[in-house]
Amino acid sequence: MKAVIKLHLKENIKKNSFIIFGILGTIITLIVLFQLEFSVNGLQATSDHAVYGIQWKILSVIASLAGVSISMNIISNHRQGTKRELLKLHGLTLEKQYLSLISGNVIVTSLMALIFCTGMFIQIMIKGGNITVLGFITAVFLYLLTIMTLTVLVSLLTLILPSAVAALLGVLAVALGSVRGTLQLLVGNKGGMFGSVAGFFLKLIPPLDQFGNLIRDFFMWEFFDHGKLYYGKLFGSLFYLWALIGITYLTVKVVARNEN
Amino acid sequence: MKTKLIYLLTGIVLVSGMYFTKTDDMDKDTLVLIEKALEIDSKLELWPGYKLGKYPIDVNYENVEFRYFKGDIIEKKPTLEVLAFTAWVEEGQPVVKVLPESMLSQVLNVMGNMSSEKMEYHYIKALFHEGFHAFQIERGIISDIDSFQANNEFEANNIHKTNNSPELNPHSEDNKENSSSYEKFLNILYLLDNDIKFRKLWTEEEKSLMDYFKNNNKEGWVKCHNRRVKYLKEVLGDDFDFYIKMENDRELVEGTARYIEDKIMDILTGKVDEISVSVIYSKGVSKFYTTGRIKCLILDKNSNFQDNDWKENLFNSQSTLTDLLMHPY
Repeated sequence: MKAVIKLHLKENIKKNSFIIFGILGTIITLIVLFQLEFSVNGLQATSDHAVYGIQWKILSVIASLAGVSISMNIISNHRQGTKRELLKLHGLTLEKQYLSLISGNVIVTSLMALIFCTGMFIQIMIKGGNITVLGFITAVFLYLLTIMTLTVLVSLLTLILPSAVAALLGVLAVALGSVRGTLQLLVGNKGGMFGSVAGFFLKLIPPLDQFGNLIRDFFMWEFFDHGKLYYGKLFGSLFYLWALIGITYLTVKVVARNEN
Repeated sequence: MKTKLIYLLTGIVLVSGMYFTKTDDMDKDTLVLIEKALEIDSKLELWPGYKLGKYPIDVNYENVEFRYFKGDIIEKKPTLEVLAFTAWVEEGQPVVKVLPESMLSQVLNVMGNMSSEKMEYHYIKALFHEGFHAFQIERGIISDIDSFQANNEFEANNIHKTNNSPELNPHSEDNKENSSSYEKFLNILYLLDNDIKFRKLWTEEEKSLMDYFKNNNKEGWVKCHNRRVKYLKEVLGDDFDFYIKMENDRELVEGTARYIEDKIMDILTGKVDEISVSVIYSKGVSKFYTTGRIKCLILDKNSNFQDNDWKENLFNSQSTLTDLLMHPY
């Protein structure tokens, strides 16, 4: 299994694309900084919340989208090639092959997401701010979990749907997940049958905005100022990822059995 | 096997965590902000007779609601089956209906750029805004459904369906009538919002109103206002009286509530915020919030009598904010 993951990483980690990710991340940092320095009063140009909050938000969204594009073709390409049969002959079951590919997807997108942050890391070192080391590490960890949620979701979708459809649903999940709280309030405001049904479906969308809030709260070390409600949000978001991993594992089992 | 065990244990920890952190009381952030708002409320009078602390505040957590009233917190079932910031009548008494601070924060702070302090200001502002609607209900200026529509901008059919108990909604018949009037108003407004000439006239009037506020140029505003009214009479015909009444009502109800927000913000930030109007025409009813608010600020600035005179007269007479600006005492 480890060998397949290594192979997957070797195939997908290309120097050039990582340099591009680094440059993109730095550009985002510079644009946010440039815009905030020159906006008058609008976003509290000097506040750490404005400078870092927006950066985390943009980085999470773009890294999630990049995660979708990286993961969308991996399983379909694997199915088309000869590697699948070859690995089977070497005793690696289809189930383990798929699990390795999904793990590989998560590792590649996590590395890419970290490189995306290069600009912000440099900015923190130069400019600083009211940031603690522990808060920063927790924020990065939650940021990686956000990207992981999207990657696992797209990987799950590519197991059962054509890659183009899976990618489209992945992009939709990023878009809706980033404003899930707003949408929940909007449908809740409509009330009635529509509100209840739409509210239920919104719960199935990855809670990217809640992860985003948690990232910001830990980064600014404000999480512990809030009460029990915020712990509930943390457990709820992690539970979503936990359930998604479980569903993906079961789907892999079913798909592998059918394909065998 | 080991992985599966770790996975299961993680699940148990997460489920237990969710169970032990479920909402069984009003959350700390919201409670602190309600108490902060009430502390401000106890120290000053923003409007003659208006006290936020007079009204129960219901915080809706979707499945459960907590009522804060005179220092006590009671758990109850949500009475509105919709999520909203509004004022509502329950058992013959106006009640302030709000959502927890975290829900408002999720909507307003989508980009993550707002500080906790800024979010707190928004929440306290919202409490005073809705509290003022409760006050307007008490004074007979609006019904609860008016308040709901003003805040939610959609027909009130859902709320009729979910809250048709006469005990909960004593004005239900009136409200149905109000709903159809409001719908008619929105239909006219939709047509006007898509009328280029009206948009131009409205934008000019809004700018002249700002000029009146900043440079006391009343004549410029009167001219622009009359020009718009003349055009409205031409295009609306028989509907003009209905439309202008509804427009004035929106300005009165929402403009005054926005004025209260301004006053609260001045207190919270310790400085008077610069007032500005958007250069882009805003569709829907939100533009009446802005003009109503500026009119209140002009009345405040230009009042010849004691500070509160125009406020006293506004709710006691049939006058509109425009009337008061056109013909001061």
